[in-house]
Amino acid sequence: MDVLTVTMNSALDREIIIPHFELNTLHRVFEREKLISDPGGKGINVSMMLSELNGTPSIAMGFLGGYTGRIISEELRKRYPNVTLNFIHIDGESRENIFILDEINHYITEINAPGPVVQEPDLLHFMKLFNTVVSRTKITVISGSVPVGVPLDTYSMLSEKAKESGNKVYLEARGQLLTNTVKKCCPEVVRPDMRSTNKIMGKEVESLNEYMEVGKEIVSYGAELVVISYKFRHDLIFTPEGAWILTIKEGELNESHLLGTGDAYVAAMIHDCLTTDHSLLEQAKYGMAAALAKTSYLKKETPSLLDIEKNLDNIKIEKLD
Amino acid sequence: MKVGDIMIRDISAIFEDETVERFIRLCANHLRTGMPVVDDEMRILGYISENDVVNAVIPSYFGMLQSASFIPDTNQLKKKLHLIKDEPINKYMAKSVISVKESDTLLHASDLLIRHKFFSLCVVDEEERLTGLVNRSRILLGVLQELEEENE
Repeated sequence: MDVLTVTMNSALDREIIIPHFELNTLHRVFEREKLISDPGGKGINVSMMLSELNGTPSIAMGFLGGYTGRIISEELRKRYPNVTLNFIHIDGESRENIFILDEINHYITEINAPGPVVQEPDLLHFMKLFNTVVSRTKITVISGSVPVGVPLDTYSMLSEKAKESGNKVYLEARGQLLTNTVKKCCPEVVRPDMRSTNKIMGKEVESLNEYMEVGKEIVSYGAELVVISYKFRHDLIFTPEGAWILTIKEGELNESHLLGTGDAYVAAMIHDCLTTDHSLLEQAKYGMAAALAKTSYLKKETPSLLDIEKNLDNIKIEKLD
Repeated sequence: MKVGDIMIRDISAIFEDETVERFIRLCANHLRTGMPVVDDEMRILGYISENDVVNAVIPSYFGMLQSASFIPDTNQLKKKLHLIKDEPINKYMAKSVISVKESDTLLHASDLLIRHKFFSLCVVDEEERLTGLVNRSRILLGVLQELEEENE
């Protein structure tokens, strides 16, 4: 088994497709396909997408709680035989994320419920299990937020353990969780989660220069690759060798189709890392092509390898620094 | 069809120094009747089931009674559980565990399940590390699938 994904705050994603979504109105949904329940949470998404991309097996770890938690594990078990489950079932309910997708007006409305509170014995059990599993894998994906009860230095502890076991660590997080992990034990690949924030490493970023500074700062802590989404159509790439800007050449991006793009990005980078000897810059380009391919679907769907290949030509690379 | 085709890839496990109370709570949350006990390399050390705990808190002569209806209250049970709830599970787990490999046939797994009156078996890799579980209903499901494929 090559890949381990960590989802502390797993969720049940409920995608509801409602054209002309309006507040204070009754919407009836007549087709079952427009009401989707999917296991979610960023690490779980990466596991599912790896499985769909090329049947890559992975171990998914984290916490599940209550009825929602059981639906998540049951769905994973039924639909993703390549994903080995290693969740701790705790008291309380796993979160539900509700996405209302409106293709006509290009709106995506999200409602994220809080997760269960993780108690100390559960966290200790998790840490011990993590150490046990990480010795068997090559790549560890640590992704998303943490539920209440999980201290903000937990990711840095996981990163440290994973690195000790010779794993390459991919991190996607935001806020203090990201800052702490980068400063204490910087993962090899860092992708700051830019949804609903314009702060990275505690600093507001607006101009290209500000982005450049923060990207280089993360590299200075030891990252081999930093990917930051920039003004929607671009990705900024930082490695110890320099900085690049990747730009989508043509085609409209549909803002209501962004669900799951970040996870498609990470899953594709890992797939590329496992199956080719591409450079990190090429891996990032492959990830971006996957994210771009994903935007042709409304729902959280995995693009095909063929789709990703097609989109590679639509990305322009320019060296910045 | 092999065990690897129908197994449940869930490696939820418990460590031998965890308490009986922790085991009871995990089982309740996970709707499980037992869990594999592993070392820090995921190798199986034993298996603990709710039966092991029940047997430890209920006086052994209960098994010989026709009915437990004349037992006045549950105090005895409470007292016993109170005594053992903080003890490590390795005192109560079954230490000899029969496991199967992913490459084993369904027939071999069924044979073990029937012979030992188990409901589920641990599945391990070449290095005896836990990779999942197989139970009676999964085997039956696998056989049904084979039947369907033959009829096609």
